[in-house]
Amino acid sequence: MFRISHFQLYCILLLLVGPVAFLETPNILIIHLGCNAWLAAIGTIVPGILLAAMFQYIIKKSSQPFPLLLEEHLGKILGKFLGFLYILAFLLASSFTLRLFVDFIVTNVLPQTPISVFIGVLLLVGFVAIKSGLENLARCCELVTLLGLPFAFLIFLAAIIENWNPGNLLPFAYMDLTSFSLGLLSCSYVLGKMLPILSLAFFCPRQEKIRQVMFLVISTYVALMLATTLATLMTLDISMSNIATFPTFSTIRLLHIADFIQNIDIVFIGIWIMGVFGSVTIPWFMACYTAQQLFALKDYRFLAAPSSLIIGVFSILMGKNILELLAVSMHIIPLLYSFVFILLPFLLFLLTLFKPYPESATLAEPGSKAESSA
Amino acid sequence: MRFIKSKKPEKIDIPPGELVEQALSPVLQDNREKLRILLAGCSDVVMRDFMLASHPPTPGLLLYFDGLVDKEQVALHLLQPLLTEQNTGDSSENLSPDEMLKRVQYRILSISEVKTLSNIEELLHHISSGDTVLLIDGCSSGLVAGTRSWQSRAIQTPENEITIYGPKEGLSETLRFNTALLRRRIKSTNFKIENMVIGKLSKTDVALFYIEHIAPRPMVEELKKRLEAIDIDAVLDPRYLVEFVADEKRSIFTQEQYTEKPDRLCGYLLEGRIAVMVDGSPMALIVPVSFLEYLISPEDYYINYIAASLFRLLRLGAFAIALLLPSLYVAVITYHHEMVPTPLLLTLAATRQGVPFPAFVEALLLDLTFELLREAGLRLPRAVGPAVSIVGALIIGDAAVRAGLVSTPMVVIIAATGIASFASPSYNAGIIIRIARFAFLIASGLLGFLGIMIALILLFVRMASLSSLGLPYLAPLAPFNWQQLGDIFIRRPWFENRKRPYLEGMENQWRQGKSTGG
Amino acid sequence: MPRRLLLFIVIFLLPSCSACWDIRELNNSAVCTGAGVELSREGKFIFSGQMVKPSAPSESGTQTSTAVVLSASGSGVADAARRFMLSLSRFPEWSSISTFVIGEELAREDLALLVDFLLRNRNPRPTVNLVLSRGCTPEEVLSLPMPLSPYSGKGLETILDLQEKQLGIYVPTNVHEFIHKLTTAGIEPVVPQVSIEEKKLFISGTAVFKGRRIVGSLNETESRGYRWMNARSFNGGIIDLGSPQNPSELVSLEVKQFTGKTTPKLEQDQLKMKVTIRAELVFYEKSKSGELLTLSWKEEMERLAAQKIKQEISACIKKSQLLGSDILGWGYILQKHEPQLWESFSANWDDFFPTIESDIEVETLIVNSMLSQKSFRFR
Repeated sequence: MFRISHFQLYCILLLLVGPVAFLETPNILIIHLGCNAWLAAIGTIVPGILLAAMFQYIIKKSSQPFPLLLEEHLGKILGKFLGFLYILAFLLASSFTLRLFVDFIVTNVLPQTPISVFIGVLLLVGFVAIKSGLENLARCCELVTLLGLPFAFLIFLAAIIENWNPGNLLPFAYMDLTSFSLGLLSCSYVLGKMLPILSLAFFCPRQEKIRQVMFLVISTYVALMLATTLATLMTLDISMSNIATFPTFSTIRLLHIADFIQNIDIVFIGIWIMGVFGSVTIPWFMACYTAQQLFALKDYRFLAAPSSLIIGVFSILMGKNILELLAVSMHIIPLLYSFVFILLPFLLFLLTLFKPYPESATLAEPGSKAESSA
Repeated sequence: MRFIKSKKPEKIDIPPGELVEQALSPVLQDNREKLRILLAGCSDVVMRDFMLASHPPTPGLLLYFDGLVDKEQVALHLLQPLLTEQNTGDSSENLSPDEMLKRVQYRILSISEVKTLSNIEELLHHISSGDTVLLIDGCSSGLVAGTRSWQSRAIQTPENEITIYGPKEGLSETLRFNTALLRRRIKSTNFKIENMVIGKLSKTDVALFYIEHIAPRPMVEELKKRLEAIDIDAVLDPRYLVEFVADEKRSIFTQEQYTEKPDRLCGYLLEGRIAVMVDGSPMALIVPVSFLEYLISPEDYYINYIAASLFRLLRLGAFAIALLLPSLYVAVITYHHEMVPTPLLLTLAATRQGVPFPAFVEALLLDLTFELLREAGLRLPRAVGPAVSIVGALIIGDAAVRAGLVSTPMVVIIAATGIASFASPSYNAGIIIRIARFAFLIASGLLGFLGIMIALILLFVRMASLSSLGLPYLAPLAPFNWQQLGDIFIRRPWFENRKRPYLEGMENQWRQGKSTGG
Repeated sequence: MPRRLLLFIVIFLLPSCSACWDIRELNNSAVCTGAGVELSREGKFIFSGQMVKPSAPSESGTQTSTAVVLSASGSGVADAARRFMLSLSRFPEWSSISTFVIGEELAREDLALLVDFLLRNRNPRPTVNLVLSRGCTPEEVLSLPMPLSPYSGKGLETILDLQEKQLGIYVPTNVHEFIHKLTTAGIEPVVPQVSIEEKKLFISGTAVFKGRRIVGSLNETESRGYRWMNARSFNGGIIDLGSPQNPSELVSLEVKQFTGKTTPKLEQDQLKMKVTIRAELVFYEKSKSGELLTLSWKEEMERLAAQKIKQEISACIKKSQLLGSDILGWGYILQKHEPQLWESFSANWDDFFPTIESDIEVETLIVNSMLSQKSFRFR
């Protein structure tokens, strides 16, 4: 039984929530809230913490990791059914991320290349990673986060400084409650993707620290959203970002550092592809892992090959064109995510409220050996 | 006078294979005959018959390989006392042959290392390692005297690991000298040197160096287990062993470090690593190492730590350049023209006028040519070397550009890459990078910058999945460890370097304070 | 083993079947430094591109590049641009253009098509410098060489940049700003104009847009006034004054740095825009030898400079109100500061804008006098 360290857990969760939100969320926020979009980004911290507390509580009340805890709390049949649902949801999340990213690349940098090539290549990378197991996946996530996170912040700080224009943020807090709550919802439903913590927490040495890890993930996410939204607002303003397909990206296109570093959008996409690798591979891994636990299979690795096909087909069939895709991302995906990753866990949470704590011995053994590998 | 008369020895018709396993017989003539068969064709063996100065004189036999022993020592401290010393016992004492042997061992031979042996296999092993064996008639065991001494390379400065400051000694081909060089540096009994013999034919001495309590016990055991499982006819260099011992055997990512410098070796030992040396090779093999440690040059620890840190960062940059520069250039020039500022784009466009190849092919060709030149330069006799490099430089650098076959910027790029690849302090890492560079080049030719990034992710996935004796290959980075990273990309000053890099199972992590040492 | 073999086959086949869709060899592309669009009399779009013909660097390393201007006409902007392919053997590299020239006819007619082209197409960058050709076509502008600069595309960008910092008349704009102002309510774009005089390129005047077409232009004084409120670079510029001692003498002051701020304020239910300028000036030049650098004369000069600035600003405001185009972005500012008020005005802003009064407040300060501290005298 291997272990993942807290930092690895942080990286995995961040890669789950971060990269896609990076592209979409500022856009949706600005559509809903205009120049006050950044307020919703900050506000996300509250639902985020509630969500984290809910996950934490479910973990505490359960003695087995995620797909099994469904059966533990809900009974065998319902648990199995929900588990199956989750496999589909993870696969869908993975293929949606993949498709969105691929369409993004095709729109912006390599318009001639067929999307199947990108889908194939990214699936190959993910396949190799899953084949080599969770431990290795966690390490890759660390590398990606270490490289990508500072870069992302740097680039948006640069954008903010370069186009310093706080006037675009006015009027302050001039919005109605409906649009604010819509914005808040659209920014926080993404955090539901932290659900894999229900499994991953059991691989972690000390469970008390998981709350801190989740909190760190949420604050990084909020900071990231804040930086992107601010940068987008300051450079593009509302009217332009409403026109743009990917406002975040348009912001970077406008970045011009020291008269020589220009048009670095491709570098940004390159770094970002690493993040996308994470957010495609981790739900994919979760799908494989859930399937393995659910059907009591020996290993999850061999599932990588068939599931890659499913993801590939899913992502190609997802939408015929970018309009459909954006419609999916605006309307269907939020509903789906909120149902599967927030509402269902919430029901589970309500159920666990009336359950006793499990025997502490059955919790993952927080051995001293594992501690040192942190 | 009993055995002097030439008794026809019995015909021995046992195959040599079984002969070797036999014990020594008390009859000297028997042993002699067996050895004659076994050593037939070994022209360098010396069998010296003599009479022990006992009463009555007892026949004896000295056996050694010429060239491996110190002849003067054999003559002065073995033969002379044996021939002249009277108190080997006389008939009045009526010594049994074994007692006689004891007396010879304890009172006559003035050689420091003497022990007894009792079978032929052992005997052969000893003489072929340079010891002298003494057999005395009537005794069923013989004596081995340590008389090893042979011509060998003097201790020199290693040619491939040049440092400006710091110790200059290098390891040599003789294992025993090397153990001495190391023992002199770590004067603790916790410094263990375990011997084993590997190679059915070569019977090579292989030594395992580690410091008890610092090197993790399970790791040492694991390595020993893997080494013992090796079944090979001969071992000439530690590289023979590595391919048996490595965690992931089929990979270009080497998971070990070599060094010829005893000080560097000790540095590794003090970090809990295990070294393996093979008699006959000056290279010491060090496991486990992580990839990032290839960035470290031993000299870093002998110069100012701030300077050393900057040099390390420079090397990191050189690493990146050597790995990525040609592919980045190809990506930019064939896919992402918009990244280049207009004046530069114009210059590039101008230099590329009339170049018949796509940039990708051009880069591949030039890079291959560069590798070719380097490979050729490595093997050239010294006298021819400069000629080839002049021709190479002139033809590639100048004529090709003039003929319009390649563009000038590409030559600059490849040259910069070449220089950067020499900045790596570890030859191992250099090899990895040289090979990976081509993969990156192909990826960038296919998908531009995205191709590079995808190749990079694949590289990460692959490297993160490797381990060296259980130590993750990207260790302080990929299971992330801030504390240890402080001595990888930069060099931490010694006064802050209070802990050793952690290895799974290490008992004592403290370098300073607390319970320092092993 | 068969698996490995398969992997190798895949890897080796990959290059051959990929065909490198997006590959663009530099050998086959033409570097463009400028482009322009004009509307012909027949209602077709004429797209002109300035391509640089790179010549191989000679021995000494100097290279002489020459620009070629090509034009093609089509029924749409993109169509016209693609029609280059009928006569050009290379792929034009639109991403490297520095200046985009809008033709006057097109600006009079309708900008919608052009804007969409600039916004949607990924190749021309949003940071491209924008000018309007006045009294000539973009093709003429682009084909005219500039002194010391072989291709005017890059040259125009530099000129606009330098004149703002050195002279302080026109405010350069780029495609992104232009479109931003076009698409945002309560602000209209302006674009510097280029015209040809005596076979030379000149920047003369600023074109004022309203909605999707041009409505007029600002002259030099009005452009200066515009710059005080909407500068891109808040340093540089020259102010010429009549000397306080003798109005026929000339004094030049350089603007070291300044800030310009416009805020809305309500005075007895009357909306007023308050323009506040703070400028630090440097005593730069004077024509006669009277001693001006005393504290009292300094104050007088500051007062005169403030007056001059005020004149320029009010000229600009007057002109923009006359043209009915809110180039100063007052609507936008109102929207930022008084969102409720803006909502009540936004429907008939066009009618309301010309009636808004302004309150200009200029504060100037002469901070140093370069290398000499006293006037020289002829003796």
